[in-house]
Amino acid sequence: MDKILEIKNLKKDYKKFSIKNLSLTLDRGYVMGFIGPNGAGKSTTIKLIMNLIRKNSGEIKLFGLDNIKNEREVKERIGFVYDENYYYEELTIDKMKRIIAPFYKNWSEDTFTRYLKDFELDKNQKIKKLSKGMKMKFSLAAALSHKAELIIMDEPTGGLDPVFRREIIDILYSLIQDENKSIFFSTHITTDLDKIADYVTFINKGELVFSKEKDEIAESYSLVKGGLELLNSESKNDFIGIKRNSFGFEALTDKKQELIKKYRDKAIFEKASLEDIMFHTVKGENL
Amino acid sequence: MINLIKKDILISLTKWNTITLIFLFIFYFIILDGISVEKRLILLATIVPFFIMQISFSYDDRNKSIRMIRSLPVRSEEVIYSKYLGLVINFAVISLLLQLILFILSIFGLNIGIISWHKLLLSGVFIMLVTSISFPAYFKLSYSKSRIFNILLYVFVFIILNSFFSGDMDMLYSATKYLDKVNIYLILLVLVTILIYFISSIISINLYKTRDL
Amino acid sequence: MRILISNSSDKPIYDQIVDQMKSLILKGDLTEGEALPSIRNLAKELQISVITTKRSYEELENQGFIETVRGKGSFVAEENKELFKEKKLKMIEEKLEEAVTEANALGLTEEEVIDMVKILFEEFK
Repeated sequence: MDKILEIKNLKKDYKKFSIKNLSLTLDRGYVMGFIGPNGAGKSTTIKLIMNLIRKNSGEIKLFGLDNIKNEREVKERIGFVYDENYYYEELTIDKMKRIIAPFYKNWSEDTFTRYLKDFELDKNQKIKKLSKGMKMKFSLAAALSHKAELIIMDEPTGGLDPVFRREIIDILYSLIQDENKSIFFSTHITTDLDKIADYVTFINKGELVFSKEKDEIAESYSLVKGGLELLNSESKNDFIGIKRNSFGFEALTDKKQELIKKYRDKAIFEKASLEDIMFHTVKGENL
Repeated sequence: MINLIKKDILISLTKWNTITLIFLFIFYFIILDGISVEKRLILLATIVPFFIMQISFSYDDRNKSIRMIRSLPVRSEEVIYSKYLGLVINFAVISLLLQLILFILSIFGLNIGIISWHKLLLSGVFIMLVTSISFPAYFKLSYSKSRIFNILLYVFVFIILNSFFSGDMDMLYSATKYLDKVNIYLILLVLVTILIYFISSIISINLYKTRDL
Repeated sequence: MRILISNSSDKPIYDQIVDQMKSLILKGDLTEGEALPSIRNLAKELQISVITTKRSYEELENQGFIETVRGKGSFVAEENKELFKEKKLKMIEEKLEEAVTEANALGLTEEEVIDMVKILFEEFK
């Protein structure tokens, strides 16, 4: 299996926050969703991958190469898309492209022009005049125009309307028709991932909660709703992030099949979305 | 790396910036009417590269475009080398341009003056020495924080430059007498400056690498 | 070719795909040797994960309904439909044998049994 991104035992310490022992793997041809609440360490992890900040220990490999020793080769093959616009606002799209393009050996002017056309972007438009969605589309166009094999997206859809977000997902689907490409999609808007993600990595407070196939998650996690009488000191271990109300409780479990047999008709079992999983896991840690 | 230098020029010399620059210097020229044209032109050649570098630094800092730059296939050393080299190249290009303009004007009979090459060289040496101190501050601290340090530095530089050209401070004037013609002292000075400049870049690289962006 | 996925069903998505593809093949909507959409194309059209479609194709291949050729794609398997039909025929034969044996024991004639079969077929029209 060709590993396109490999993180092993990554550690980064700040005064009030640390990334502790993070490990994950993404194979070529797949989409990984990177989820977690705000402040969980998603952006920090991406900055570490990009070598914007120094790690304390651990290993990050891209395409089998070390991300620092082979920084240049690695970045030739990666397309980054950010939440904020880090381009020079005063410049037009065309001028900005003229700055970026020469850095890449495999820049394809045709591909870029085609994307501009598909996204309905005017190359003579100043970047500061673009709406948030259009800026994001420009980022995407630039990221996809140098034959990048890995696309890393850091909260690209925050602040964008649902219609637009679906368009982006469609674009990503088209992209992975090529089985040599992978996408690493960091977001806290998990509805985007419910469809396209093949794998999901969930981090919270700098630590890995899980990194699994999305289907596997759907099969083992479930929402459980039941009467308050079902909760006792022994049964509490079955549930994660119990949310009580006057009429009953709602919780998450990662032992779906086991609990269905145990509680049968006494509880209702519902499919847990990634958002449910995130909510109850984070809530559970706060108790 | 050349791409980075090109980038700095492209973003610094936007329409507005160039116009501002021209206005500033027309203004400056009017104030310095008592000083010879040659000296004013040398000041021009000295300050424009500074200006370009400062703008590129502030742009990089302003909307964190350094993150975009660092996503490009570029090593962190190249970011630093591009600034050091950029300054020297900008200075060389502007000096040449000025000489060319003066030459063309003289053909048409407009004799504004000439700039002696070796005075230009001395100015270049001077910029390189000052930059050797101010750049590491920027790479370690970031543009906004290093500004205070750099402002003080530039004020100091400004005073020195002005005294250098007004001939009031005998000490400096006599010191430069040694460097009046191409001789061993001049060559030595240039070589030492290049060495200091290079060492400064190495220091900058090491300071930059310890920084979290 | 019609494949519809329900997100709210308890049945895992890959299972839904397997079932629907199987009936398409058995009904003859997908013919022998016909090329199936690639796993990536199917994932895109249905807006699901590639691993899900991969799994459903693997399952279909295990059950003998399709064949995957490296570099070319997946195709409806040839022989299996016959095999399956054979199996079903055998099952029908066995059930008929049972029915006929019982009818005989009760003393029904051949015509009476055929009449019963005719009435039952009416219900399908």
